[in-house]
Amino acid sequence: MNRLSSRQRKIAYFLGILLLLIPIIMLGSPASSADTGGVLARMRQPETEGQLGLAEHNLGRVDPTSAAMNLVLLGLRGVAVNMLWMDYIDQQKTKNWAQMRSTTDSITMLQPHYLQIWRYHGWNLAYNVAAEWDDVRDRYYWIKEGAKFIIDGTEFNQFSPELRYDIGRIIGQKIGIADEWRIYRRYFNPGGAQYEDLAADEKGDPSPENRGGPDLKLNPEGLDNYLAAQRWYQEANDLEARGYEQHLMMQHIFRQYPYRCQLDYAGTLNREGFFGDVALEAWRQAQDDWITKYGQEMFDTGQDFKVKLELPGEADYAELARSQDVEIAKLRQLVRNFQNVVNYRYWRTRALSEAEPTTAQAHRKLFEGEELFKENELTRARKMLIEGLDQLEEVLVRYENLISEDLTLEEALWSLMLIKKIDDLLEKPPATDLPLTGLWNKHINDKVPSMQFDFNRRFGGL
Amino acid sequence: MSFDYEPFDFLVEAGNWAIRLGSFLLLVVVLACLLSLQKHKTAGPRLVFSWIQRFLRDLMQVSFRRVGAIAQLTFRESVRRKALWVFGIFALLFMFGSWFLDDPNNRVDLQVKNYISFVLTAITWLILPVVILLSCWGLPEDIRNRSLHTVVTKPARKTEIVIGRVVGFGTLMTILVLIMGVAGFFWIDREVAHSLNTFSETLVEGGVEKSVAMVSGDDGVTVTVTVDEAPTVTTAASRSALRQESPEVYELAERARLKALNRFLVAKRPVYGILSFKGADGRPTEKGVNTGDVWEYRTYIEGGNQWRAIWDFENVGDESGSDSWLLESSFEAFRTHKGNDISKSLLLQYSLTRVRRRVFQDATGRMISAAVVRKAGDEAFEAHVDGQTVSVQPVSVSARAVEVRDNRYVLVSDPLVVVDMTEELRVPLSSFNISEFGENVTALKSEIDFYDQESGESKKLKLEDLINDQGELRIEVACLDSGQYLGMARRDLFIKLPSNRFVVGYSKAIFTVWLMLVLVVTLGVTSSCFLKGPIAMLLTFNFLIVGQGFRQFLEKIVGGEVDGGGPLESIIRIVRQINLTDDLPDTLFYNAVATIDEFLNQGLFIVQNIIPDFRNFRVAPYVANGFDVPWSQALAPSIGVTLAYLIPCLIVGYYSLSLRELEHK
Repeated sequence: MNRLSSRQRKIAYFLGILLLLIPIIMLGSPASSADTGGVLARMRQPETEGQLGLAEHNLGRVDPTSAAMNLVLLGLRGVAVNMLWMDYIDQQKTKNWAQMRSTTDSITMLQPHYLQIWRYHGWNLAYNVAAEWDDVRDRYYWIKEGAKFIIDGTEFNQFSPELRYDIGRIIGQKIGIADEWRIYRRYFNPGGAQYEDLAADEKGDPSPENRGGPDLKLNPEGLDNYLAAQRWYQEANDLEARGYEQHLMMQHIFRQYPYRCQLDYAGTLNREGFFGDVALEAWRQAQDDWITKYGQEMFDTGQDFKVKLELPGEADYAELARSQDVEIAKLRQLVRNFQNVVNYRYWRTRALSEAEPTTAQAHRKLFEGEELFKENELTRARKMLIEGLDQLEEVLVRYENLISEDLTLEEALWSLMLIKKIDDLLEKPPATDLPLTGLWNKHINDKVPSMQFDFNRRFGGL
Repeated sequence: MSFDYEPFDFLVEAGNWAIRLGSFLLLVVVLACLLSLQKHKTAGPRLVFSWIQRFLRDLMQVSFRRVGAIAQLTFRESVRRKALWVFGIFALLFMFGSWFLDDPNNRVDLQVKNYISFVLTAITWLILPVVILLSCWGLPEDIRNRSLHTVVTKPARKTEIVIGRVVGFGTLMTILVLIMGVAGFFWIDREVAHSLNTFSETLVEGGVEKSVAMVSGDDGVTVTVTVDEAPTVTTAASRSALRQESPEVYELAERARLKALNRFLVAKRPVYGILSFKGADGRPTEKGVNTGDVWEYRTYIEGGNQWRAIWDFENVGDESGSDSWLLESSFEAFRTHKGNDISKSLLLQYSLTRVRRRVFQDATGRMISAAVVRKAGDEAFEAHVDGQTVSVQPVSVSARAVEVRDNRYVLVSDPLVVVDMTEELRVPLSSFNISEFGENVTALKSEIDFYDQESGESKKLKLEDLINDQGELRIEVACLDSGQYLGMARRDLFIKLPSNRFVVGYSKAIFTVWLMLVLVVTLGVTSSCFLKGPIAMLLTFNFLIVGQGFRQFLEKIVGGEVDGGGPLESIIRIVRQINLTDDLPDTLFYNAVATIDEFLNQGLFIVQNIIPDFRNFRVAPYVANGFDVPWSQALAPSIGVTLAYLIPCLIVGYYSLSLRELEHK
């Protein structure tokens, strides 16, 4: 039986409380300007100071509204979020875009550090909601909304490479590869040199508040969409290099995107019929980035040694193998694997060849030849196309690898089809001495029929 | 956005209500008589009728003065219980609401919907807990404190106590709704005006048309005034700088701003038509094409062929009454390919047609299908029926009397009677590119210029000539882009009457909120007459939640549309992990389970009919989408539902109070 009196018990409890307070104070006392605080407070310090960075503000901006909402919900945040998600799905199904957008904000307000939510909603807005609209200006608006949404997410998640990657993907690939890419790119960067001759109402962001310029919230520096995307991809790479993990893809695939943007930028300038110094310089930069930057990065193979992708000679392989004490055959095999995954050698050859003035001239002539054909200047078009093909052949002799690549192949075959069409229209006998005829004959049973179908659909049957 | 509710016929519904309530009361009286016979022998039924008499006498002798006194007491008591503190939360919400809602990237047309929905939702859900708490706890607390004795010992009747409580809580709630409603209105107006940084409007000054476009942001204000295609651009650092530097432009811009504000905050009055379709072969069809959209609100017409969506507008002459009408549409596009000009939205065309709908009658008045009728002269017709040839007379019928079945127009009342449909006149209007999910407004002048394809000439025609003998106008909509589709629902095209001001639609929405809260107060007070506070609150809250959120689900269960059977069968399926679509074994046990479930479902049928349908009070979508709240679809049902519960609640409240042991805490 307990022989302590009530008073004695109370004193014992009080002493017990005092004793327990000592570790609590040691663990939990908050930090102040004069004091680093208890153990937990020190663990919450940013990671850069060698601590664990457990405080919420280390993840990114802490929104008082969001924090207040979470407090008010008294632990029912999960329930509230679930209900919001159900509303969201219903609103999207019934095309209630205004409230759907608002619900998206509410969900992220309750879970600002949950990356997948930012990623999913950003993607949904840019890819799915945009596709629901008919007017190209509306579609562009929703693509921007998707990108801006994830940009908001980066404020709350300052160390996420994945969110940066997603922004780059929307600004780069969505705007640059969609069916409406020509229009989107003019909207995104009306100041581009290739759009100088366009009337003011044919370029510039369609939202009136942007006054015919770019959307400064998305593109404050007025860059090409690929170059704007490149900034975001680069930020993602920088974070990844600092040790913040991404869980999207293999490291060497993930890290190629800033450099791919430069390649895409240069290639797209050509596709838009822009072959001047700006395009040549873009290709030179792309070549430099691909070979001297991306090609020099070291990637872990998971087999106790690292590889890099730019190994031009046998001596380079030997040197790398020796420095890591690994068999050269094993190293070579893994380098080839890594290169194949990102199509490294193709892009390398492409960048090298495109940076040459002859290639630019070949492209220009083939492009202009087709334009002349569309204007019914058949004789001039034929001459221009032949010259272009001659120069392309010259390039292909030097860069053999390009012959097997789709883009080059299609450009050559397409130009040959144009020449055959012109000959047909001019009622000339089929020419047998055309440049790159060997390429045509080689693909007479695979590429040519499918491309001929597309060609006939656009320009009428031969 | 859809808010397609069925029209509500007040008189018919009132009749239904009276029959149901009467039958229910009769049932109760018969049951009470039977039970009383058992206990009081032959004196039983007399006792029952004396109770009924007592209630009626009580009701007849209600004193408004005493009701007023009880209401006043209730009101003061509520204020003492700090009910008005809800204003604090309301003020907080509205002070910081824009933090949650403001998105400078968002478009004003979309943002307006958010503001209006937020205000109406906030008012409803802030007052609801207050009125539920007060109305459910009032009487039980009085009984517990025995303060009710100070009332019941006075010459106050039980009906007066019930009515007084409802009126007292109702008055408090009315004050809350009024103040919040007014504050909400100004909040919406202010927020929309604040969001309206970019607009473009056309003003007419002294017969001169001026297009005023304003763009304002952190980097300054730009106003472009265009007269006769000659733009004049004025820039300033801010709106106040514009006011000082160019007062005339500022004044013009402000007028345009006000016009833009009225365009976003408006209560449109639509006249809806009856929708039907014509298929690719030109024959009538019930529905359009399903393009795979999971939301089946709209069906689609294909472009570049004979697919048409057809609207028949009734009584158009009476409805409009002005020289020019506005047609507004909001269609949805579905592309199977991006098309030749990727930057252009889909092209559509309206055609106004005058049609004649006729059925035929023989001498006995029997309806004869147009399929067996042939001409027997200029104006004479005959039909071959039952092996005989009879003379028949044409009778004109309205659009509402006709429906499409099996690719034919038939009478709704007798689907075997085919209706003769003849197009008498057709006027194709100019085509235009649609603005999807937005407003496409077309003005129909009283005199229409059009190009007649048959004669190849430009012609003029009066609009009234296109209205048929039934006072109807038919509008056909065609998509002109081949291989593309346009989605249509009944409410996607309407004739737009002169709009009401936003305040009118908003006030009606607030009135509907008020009606809903009156109903909640009535239910709360009634349940507190026979239950203790917490239970009464739970009951009222359940009425609200089931009546609002689970009503559709309940209807599905009662209607047998839910897979997986009733409650017992569902439990068995969950425990035994049997798929919803799998049949259960045909054994005695499962048959018994099915029978019990059927019985339980009957219980749900009663619940379904007792719980009010709170969906009738959901009018926010109308106001948020810029429409006035219509009488027949929204206001009438909400008034009807509220009134329908007042008398039964009064009866239940009276007898509960009479039978309740007030000494019991």
